[in-house]
Amino acid sequence: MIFRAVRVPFKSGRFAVILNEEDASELGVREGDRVRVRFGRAGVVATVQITREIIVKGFAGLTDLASRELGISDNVEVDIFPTPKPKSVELIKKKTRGEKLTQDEIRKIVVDITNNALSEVELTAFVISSMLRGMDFDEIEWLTRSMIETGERIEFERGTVVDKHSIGGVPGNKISLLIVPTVAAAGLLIPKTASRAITSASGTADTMEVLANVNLSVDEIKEITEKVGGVIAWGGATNIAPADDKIIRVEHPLSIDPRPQLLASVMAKKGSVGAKYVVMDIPVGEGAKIERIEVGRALANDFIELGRRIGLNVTAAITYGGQPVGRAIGPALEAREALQTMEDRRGPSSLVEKALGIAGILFEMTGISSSGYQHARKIFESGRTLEKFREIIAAQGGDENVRAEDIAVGDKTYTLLLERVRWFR
Amino acid sequence: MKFRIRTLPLRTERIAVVLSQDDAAELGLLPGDRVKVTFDGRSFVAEVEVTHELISSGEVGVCSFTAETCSLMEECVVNITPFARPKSVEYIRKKLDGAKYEREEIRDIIGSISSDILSEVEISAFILASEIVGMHNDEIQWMVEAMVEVGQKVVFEKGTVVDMHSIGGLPGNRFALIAVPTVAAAGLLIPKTASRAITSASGTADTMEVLANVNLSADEMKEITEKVGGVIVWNAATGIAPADEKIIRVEYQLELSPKPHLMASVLSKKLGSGAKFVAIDIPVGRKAKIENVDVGRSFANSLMEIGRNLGLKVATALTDGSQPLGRAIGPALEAREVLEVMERKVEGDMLEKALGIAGILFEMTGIASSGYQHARKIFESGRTLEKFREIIAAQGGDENVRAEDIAVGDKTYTLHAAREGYVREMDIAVLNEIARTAGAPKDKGAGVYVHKKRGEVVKAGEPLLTIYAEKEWKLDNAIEVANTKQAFEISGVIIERYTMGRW
Repeated sequence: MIFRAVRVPFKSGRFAVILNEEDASELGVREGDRVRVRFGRAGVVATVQITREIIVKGFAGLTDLASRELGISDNVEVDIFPTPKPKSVELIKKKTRGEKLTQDEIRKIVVDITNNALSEVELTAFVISSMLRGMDFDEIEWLTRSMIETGERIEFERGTVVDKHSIGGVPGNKISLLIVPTVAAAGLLIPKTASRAITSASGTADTMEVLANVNLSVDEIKEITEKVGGVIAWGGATNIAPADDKIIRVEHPLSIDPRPQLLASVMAKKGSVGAKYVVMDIPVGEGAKIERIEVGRALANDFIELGRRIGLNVTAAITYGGQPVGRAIGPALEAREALQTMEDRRGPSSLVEKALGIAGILFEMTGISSSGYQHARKIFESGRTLEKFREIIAAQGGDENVRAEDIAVGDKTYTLLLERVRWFR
Repeated sequence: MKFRIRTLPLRTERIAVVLSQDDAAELGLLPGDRVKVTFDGRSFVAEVEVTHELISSGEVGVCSFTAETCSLMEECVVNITPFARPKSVEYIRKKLDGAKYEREEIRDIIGSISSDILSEVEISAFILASEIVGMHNDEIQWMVEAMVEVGQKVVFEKGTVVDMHSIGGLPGNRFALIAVPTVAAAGLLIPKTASRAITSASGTADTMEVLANVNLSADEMKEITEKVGGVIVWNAATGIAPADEKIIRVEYQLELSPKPHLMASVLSKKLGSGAKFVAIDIPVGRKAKIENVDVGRSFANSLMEIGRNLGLKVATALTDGSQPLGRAIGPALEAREVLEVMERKVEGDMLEKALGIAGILFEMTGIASSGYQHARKIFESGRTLEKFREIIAAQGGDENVRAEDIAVGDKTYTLHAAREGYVREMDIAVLNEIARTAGAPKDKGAGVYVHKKRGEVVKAGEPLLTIYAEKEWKLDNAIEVANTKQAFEISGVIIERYTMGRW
């Protein structure tokens, strides 16, 4: 059917076309159905939204994304006709029935997720079916590979590239700010992409942002890593494994984190930045994401096996997640604590020991030292960690002379005092 | 935080607010989170959308639906605070972990769905949990009770109230148009609520609409039933069990109909319309909702057990779901066919099924010990047609309507058999797709007429099916479907031929 186009000034992450109720039923489409919109030789597949007002009969509203893709102006004639759902919808149903997907099928699903071809409802079906029906290691490997393939990647021509990742959930976990410079100071390359907080008080990217710019492109990440050995950037500013962000959008409202997606999400990001050696920090303890040690061990094994399959050398460390790491929680407070620790070359043992322990694992994995922890401690105590951290801050556009006391923290404070002596258990 | 309202020239059918990215981050909100919006001493809960442009910091956008529903004006100042996600989401989450719902939990979920509190993502999660984890019979019972509770409820002061329903999925399954008047003619009350097509070419309500008005309220439905004994109306218009419609809308997108929901959907509507005896048709066959007899039996058993606990006497009939009932598919074609049957012009499986189902209700209510015979007697006496005309008149239709008066699509195309054989299988999904592509159910006159059914012999060049459409372009699309997908499997004596090269 021929319609006159109206550009709708509404940002939407996907291609959508808004039709009048009567026109929609004339076309035989319902809300959420797909249509092909053709303008000259350009065409997009869009999902239908139905309205009773706004768009009058004979007109079709197109979201920003769709109208830009077609290159249309208002009032031009477009041809709209129903089109079948993408094949991946059928493949998702296969998983809903509990069948195993092939490599090719998983790739098709991930490609459609990346291209916004799936609706939220269909994406939810994929995530929940994988959660309830599970995926075996073949499928998780294919999911990881597809997520890497559909995004930007970094390849380093030389040097030993390492990375670390924490599955998160422990407040105050600013260890990356110590690990990255310590590791870089030993001559390894560590292009660390970090996340911002979703449910917690601060993510590594939020903390680093107090000191430097973390919104870096993939090219900038590579360039800085090659120059100073390390970087701490926000992963969300890049287009690394973009399918993951879209999956998280439906996981978050349901607060679910299915095992296949969790494993693939972490490993795809590490695989995309060209790391060859990766250490996983898995905090276990009361109140952490993982409360039981057996669950932590199973996850550790999963990471190692998945790493083996995609050519990543993985070591997992189960760490104590029952209380905050260090004493500060919140971006500026954490940045100040990390910096203070490096300046003093000593600090809360939960922070220093954990950071050096994990840096040490990377030294042992890469053969830099047979007693990694000692090696890391030597670097830290020599002041080279702080020195390297300043180089990284400078490379990321921050003030390399920053000192812990310069960092502004909130000036409205309240201190909770103990009223009477109690035993803390 | 305080925000200034901006109304957006857009209408979405849910309560949502659009925040700029900065403000959303400031409040710690992600798309899909909920906020409490307070102004003027009143408040409501809305879903959050986040935008990069359009809305600047300090402003909050609302669509016209939200603005009207919550009486917000441009420029008025509201306070927005994050709102914890509803408890019902936690319950759905529990089901995903394999737990069983408590009575109160399922009640809360159905309540949230009815009042549009749950997003499509959350409703999807509910549907998938029911599909994969499943529900016990008592959970389904609680779900039915909750669905009835939030909707309209019809109570008849006197008379024996019965009803019939099909779980659907079978093209041409319009037996109710014959069975309802037959049952009403025997003095029973039958306030039949029917659905419109969602994935099929026509629902009972779509077909009835060709002959009369089906958008009746619960009160009108009761009044007509008390007056003439029966009625056939669209269930959504009555306001009975409104959650069902909202669940089905998402199920349609997912192409799923979890068995617990199928049961709850049927039982809630019947319970809400005041029925005491219900006959349920379960079509079984390739591509039907129930694919084999064993599944059909256990489904039937669950339905009867849940019905018993709800005080509903349920009988189930497993029927042939592998080929269309009758020969017509599409609203007008089906309406014409049922009138032809009642006018005694044609016989066949349509009539047999209608009388069989009516007969089950006669036996359940003690009206006759051999129900089918009783139904046949009523039908042959002409009282079925007479009663049907009364019902049509009561619903505002033309009581003198005759089969030949019904207009069907004037653009037609007939598909012929390429060779001789007999029809071995029919694909109901393909027939359905042809009819929908031709314009059904929206174009009432569109659909498919099947000339040959399973077991019938067809000679080369004889017609297999005729496509009817109201629009030329829809006919063309339907022809393409008919020519590329196999609706018929024809088998001859020679099944395949192998030749040794040329000679």
